[in-house]
Amino acid sequence: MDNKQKAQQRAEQIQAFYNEISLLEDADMLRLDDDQRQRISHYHEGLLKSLTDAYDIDTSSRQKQLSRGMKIVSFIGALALAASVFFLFHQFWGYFGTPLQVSILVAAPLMTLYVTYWVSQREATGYFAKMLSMVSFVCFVLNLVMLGQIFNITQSENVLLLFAVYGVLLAYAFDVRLLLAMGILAFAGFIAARTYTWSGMYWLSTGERPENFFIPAVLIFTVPLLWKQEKYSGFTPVYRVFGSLLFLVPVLVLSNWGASSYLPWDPSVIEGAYQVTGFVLSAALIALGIRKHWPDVINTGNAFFVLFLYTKFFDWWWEIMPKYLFFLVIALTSLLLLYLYKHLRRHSQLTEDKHA
Amino acid sequence: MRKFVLAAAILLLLVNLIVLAGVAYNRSGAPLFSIELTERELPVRRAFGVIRENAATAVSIKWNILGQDKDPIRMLSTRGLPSWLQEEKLVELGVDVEELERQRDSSQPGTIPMLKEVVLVLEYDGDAYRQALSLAERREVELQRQSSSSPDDAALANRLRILSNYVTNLKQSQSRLYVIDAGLDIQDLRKKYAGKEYLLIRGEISLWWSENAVDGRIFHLSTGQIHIPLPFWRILADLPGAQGHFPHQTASAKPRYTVRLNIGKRLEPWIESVTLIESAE
Repeated sequence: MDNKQKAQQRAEQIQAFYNEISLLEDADMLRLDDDQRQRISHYHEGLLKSLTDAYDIDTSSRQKQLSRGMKIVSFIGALALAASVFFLFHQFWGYFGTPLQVSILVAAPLMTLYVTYWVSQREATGYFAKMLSMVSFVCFVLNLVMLGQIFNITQSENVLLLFAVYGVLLAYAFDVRLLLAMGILAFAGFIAARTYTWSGMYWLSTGERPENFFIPAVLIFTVPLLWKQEKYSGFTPVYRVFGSLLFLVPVLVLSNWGASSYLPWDPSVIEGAYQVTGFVLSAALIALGIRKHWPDVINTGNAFFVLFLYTKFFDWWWEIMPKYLFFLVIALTSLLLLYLYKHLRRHSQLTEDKHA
Repeated sequence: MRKFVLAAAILLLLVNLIVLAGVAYNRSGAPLFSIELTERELPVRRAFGVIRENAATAVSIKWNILGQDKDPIRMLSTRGLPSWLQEEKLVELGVDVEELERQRDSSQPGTIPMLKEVVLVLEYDGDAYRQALSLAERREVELQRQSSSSPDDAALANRLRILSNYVTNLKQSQSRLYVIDAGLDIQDLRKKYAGKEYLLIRGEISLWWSENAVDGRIFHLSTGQIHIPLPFWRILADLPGAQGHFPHQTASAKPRYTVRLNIGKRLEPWIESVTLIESAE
């Protein structure tokens, strides 16, 4: 097994196998003899034990529910601890001399990094290490932001790259998808800002030109194609989803606000062009996701296709239609889309049966 | 895991080393500019909400411009168009005005403010301030004459009252720092503005389309507030109004402290000293 996610899937497969055996036996379709039952059971016990020792997976539905609870609690705990560090700095900051302030800022991320590593070596579930890694990231952000304030350093977009690198390093060290997402967003911000400064403008207003985000979006989407992520649970979908979002959200903005484009055309022409692009791209993502079995990409493509469609309906009909009719049209369109998806699903089922 | 943790630790050490080395370089040798300003130019930063705990640890830089508007109050608004930031200056700052004017036809005017990073020249208690004061006083005299010949005109009397308060404010509590020029080359600007009353600070100008032209405004200074080191902020923290939500300054309030402000090699400022003005205590 490469990662915890695959190990968990294997455990669920084993559980599903026993459930199916039970149903088949009840329907008198299958009966395992004692020797077969014992050998299979012995094999699965060994396998589950090794997976639990290596990845601390859930082997029952009760454990799964508790794990879900632990994930939520650790997320809230991480946010609360990070906020606490932030406000602690603000509460007492003015009482420290500059040398002490600098020492605290430099030491905080280093110490939290060490503590995170130390905890990760002693605790198999990884939840505490994930929480502490978030705190370390916040300490690094405070480190740079507050050094900038203390010494009145001119802001630069390079700070985004540093946040991105540290976030990604922590994400890979401690298997934290949230930090990977934050690193990706910081990286995208850096590339977009750098693109903008190369055109002679100030980096903080990079958001006023959504097209600045196209290049980082493509780069991020292609990362898993160039660098396999099997060892890390759920990292590949994070790259694909954020790559898609960083492309589609600017397209959505530009399809309603053509004046913010670099293109030297009439804003209404730009908006029309980006609306078409939005539809085509969403459909392309759905097709790509189906072909490659990437459910995350299918869902993102679906969500944006519907968003573009409903935005268009709003543009055309909100002002001229009675509201009840407008929402009826939305509902009927949803039913049509459901019918289309059902038809596609059925077609896909038949194709798979034929190959089987 | 270990290699990522090691890389993260190296990153932390390296980044902090580079940042602190940059600070040391900025403050090495004699400062490029050193000037004594007052509370008028460097009021204690307002504290709001949760940031209140950190109050009085920074001062803001208050600055003005001489604008193109003929009305004295609007002329001195920092949101106005500086009289010196015309098309010729924008071209000198590397703005492709012709290209922007071409784009105006295909875009909605005033929709996108673009920001251009420049080096701003601030003049302290110089010609720009005296000109602003002179214009305001002349307008006040004019309004007084009109008001005395139309004593029943309440609107006129109100305008005169507002302008009189404004003139008093200009003399006693408004900032005497005026942004008078901008450029891209620090050395050229240093040669041109070598006197003790000048400062160079990084900032941004915003570019807008108006009906007939591309306009430039001072968007902000890159260092809008300056950190006060511990021994100095204790002096300011004890001043009434330093910890509250609203600035102490009113039209009649005089400055209560002076600040020795230095600007280093990277145009990053720092406070060398803070002294209370005895007459204001």
